[in-house]
Amino acid sequence: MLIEFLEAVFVILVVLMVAKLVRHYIFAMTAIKNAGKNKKAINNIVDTVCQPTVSILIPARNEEKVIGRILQRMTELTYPKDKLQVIAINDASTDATGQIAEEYSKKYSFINVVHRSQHEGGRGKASALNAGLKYAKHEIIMCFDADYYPQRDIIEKLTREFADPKIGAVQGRVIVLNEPQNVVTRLVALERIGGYLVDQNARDILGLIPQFGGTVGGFRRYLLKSLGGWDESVLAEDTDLTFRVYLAGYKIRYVNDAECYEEAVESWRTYWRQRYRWAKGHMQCAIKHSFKVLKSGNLKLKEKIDGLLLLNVYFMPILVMLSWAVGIPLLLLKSSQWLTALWASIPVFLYSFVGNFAPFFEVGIGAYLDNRRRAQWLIPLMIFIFVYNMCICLVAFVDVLFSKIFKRKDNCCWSKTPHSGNGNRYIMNYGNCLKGKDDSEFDSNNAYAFSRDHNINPHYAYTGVS
Amino acid sequence: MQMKMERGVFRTYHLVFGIFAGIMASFTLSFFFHTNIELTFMLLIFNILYILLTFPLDGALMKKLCMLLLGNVICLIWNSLFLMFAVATAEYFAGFFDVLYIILNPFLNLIWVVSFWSISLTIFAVPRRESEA
Repeated sequence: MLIEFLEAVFVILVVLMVAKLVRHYIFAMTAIKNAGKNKKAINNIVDTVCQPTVSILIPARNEEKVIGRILQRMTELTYPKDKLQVIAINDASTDATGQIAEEYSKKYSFINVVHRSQHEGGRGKASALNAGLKYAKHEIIMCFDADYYPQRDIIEKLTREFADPKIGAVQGRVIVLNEPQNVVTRLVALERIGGYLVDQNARDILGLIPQFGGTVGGFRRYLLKSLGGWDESVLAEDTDLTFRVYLAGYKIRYVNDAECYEEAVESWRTYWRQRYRWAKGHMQCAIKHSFKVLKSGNLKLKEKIDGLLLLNVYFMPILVMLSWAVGIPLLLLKSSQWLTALWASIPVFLYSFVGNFAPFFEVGIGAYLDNRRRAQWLIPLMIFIFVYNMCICLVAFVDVLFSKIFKRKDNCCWSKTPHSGNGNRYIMNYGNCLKGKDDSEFDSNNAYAFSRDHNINPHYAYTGVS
Repeated sequence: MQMKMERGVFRTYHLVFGIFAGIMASFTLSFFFHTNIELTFMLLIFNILYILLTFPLDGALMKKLCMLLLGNVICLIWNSLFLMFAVATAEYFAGFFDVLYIILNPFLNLIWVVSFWSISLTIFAVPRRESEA
């Protein structure tokens, strides 16, 4: 009786994971099929079709090492400055973040600073964004994290999608700036490639649910206001907003050519803290939205299925762990050929949740499409990321479970990801920009973009021109 | 730009041919080498994964077939060596290693399968400079 029960559980788990694999295989093949088409379509678009006024929110808490970089970049954007408002939100920083932002504010009229006191600040990103939203006066609200470094023409690329009235939000692509730093940043870079170039891109092409990633994206102001801004009670405010936008009857577009560079986490400890927050936040959203997605009249069937899979993605590593726990005693208790066959497929699933739960092939195909020749050699190492994520998800799951049982508040444990500013060294003209020298000599936005275009290591691109 | 346009092409014909070649390779190797059940499954998993993930990509069909053949040979050698090791060790550790072999074998196999696939992707990836030249 017990064996039959275990067998049934094992088969259900394997079927679930095979379904996930098939879904991601379709994503990978869609990305391959459309790689050329996307580029062609983008080249044919006239950039000046839609130029609404834009307010950019930059929440920053103790970001003195990177805040100057992004504010400097805001001054270099090609979008008309009379249509632009930049709001730097100094979220009760205890370092020089506020002073640096103030300096930029004095120099450039379109840059404003919102200072939050120790009493009102430090309650997480959603809270800081809501504080900034009160001062935003333009049609489109965009957000960038303080450690990000966008392309000069990113606003044009993102805002052109708002020409379609059904589009409520847009999301751009995130690329790791400090990739050569160490093995953690290299693996995170691979995760990002698979997650954006393949996963998000395919979701957009297939008319599923591209996710707003919390940064490098924007919303219609009236939509954001009508939704009540960011929900401060969840840790994954971006995922929460994604589903609220879809439930309200709007769509999100993913714009692959709107690239922005981020400073990835540099150590396993910060990786844990960041992913733990994501995992817990995602689980909170799964509890909050799963039922609403199912019964929503604004979503098509394929969007509902994709939405549910997206919401529950952080439960998948726990299911893989469960399949081991069920499979091993089954193998010991009962030996059969079909069981051996199913067991042989388990490692495939293990490698299928590596790149932020993207399968290894999605990461590899992403690297292939991104013209990377050697980055994919690191894919086998992503198994460590999976095992690490499995522990993170398990701890997050237990935490969410206890929070629900004991009615504990979850947003109390927002942990900010520290940024070292090491990404500056990969920006070719950053030093010159700060000194006020002419940087027009370098058409490529930074060393990383330059290196990708020329298929060389960003580090060499940097040292080659400095 | 030219390369990106080429990458957009999905090689359906290569995929169909690859599936046929993979079935033939798995059948031939299993038949002639009297492989055990674990090896047969691993050959199948390797062929399915490799064909589905490599053959639709841009690149010469012959190159893909050569890589597929090489992968099958590696699979055969890897598993045969591991089986020999397991049999020899089982002499000393009795049933314990047998259990360990059944549990660990698929995991150890997939490490080389993923490594082989990721390295072979490099062969098909063409850097921009080369394609423009």
